[in-house]
Amino acid sequence: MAKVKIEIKGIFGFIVVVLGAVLGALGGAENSNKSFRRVLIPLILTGFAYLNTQSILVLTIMSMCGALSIGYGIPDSTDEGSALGRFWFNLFKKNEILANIFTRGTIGLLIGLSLISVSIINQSWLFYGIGCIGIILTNSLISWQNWGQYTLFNRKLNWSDTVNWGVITFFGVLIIILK
Amino acid sequence: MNNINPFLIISIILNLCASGWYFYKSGVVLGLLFLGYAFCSLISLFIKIH
Repeated sequence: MAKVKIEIKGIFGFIVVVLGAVLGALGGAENSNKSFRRVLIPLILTGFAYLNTQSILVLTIMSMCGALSIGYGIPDSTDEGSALGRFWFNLFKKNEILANIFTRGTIGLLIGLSLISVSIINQSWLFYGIGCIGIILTNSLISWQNWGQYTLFNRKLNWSDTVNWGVITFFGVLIIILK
Repeated sequence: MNNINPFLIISIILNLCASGWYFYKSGVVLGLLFLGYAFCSLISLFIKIH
């Protein structure tokens, strides 16, 4: 019975990962609404965490909306960038790659922190640590890459956004499921 | 050590291979990424799932 339960969790987790990948890419597409990413991904993860923990404490996962709304722009000739982007850009003496890595790494850290309530309930700190390292690594090293585009729902979506959000939601699902 | 998950061993090996490949191709960023994933899999080997 326990094995069946784990398999059902796995199937639901897989659906969450696919939804996360598509919504993350939709949120980053041109002429699209960023709310796909900023609101729907935290909402889906919160729902999934509630199904797994039956605790209302997991509502704190919705704080991920804040982390995703900060803005990660690096200053250039056309854009003054976000406050966070400007901070790292100036700290690394206008090194664009390092600024990108640390700006997105900071956001990855905040995404990881928003999932902390699940670990408080599950007492699964090692999995939480691994999940956070995975989320930070993924967001800081994949999200700003240019891997080309594909068309879905009449929108041009980025491959890097799809992979990035798929892997981030995968680590989120791991943190929620494993204990 | 009897309950080692074979998927984690495969994950460590594949991630290390990917990391080595990217470092060889001078893709330092993705090399670091896969090295990090290999580290995550390695640590997971030592956790018991309840």
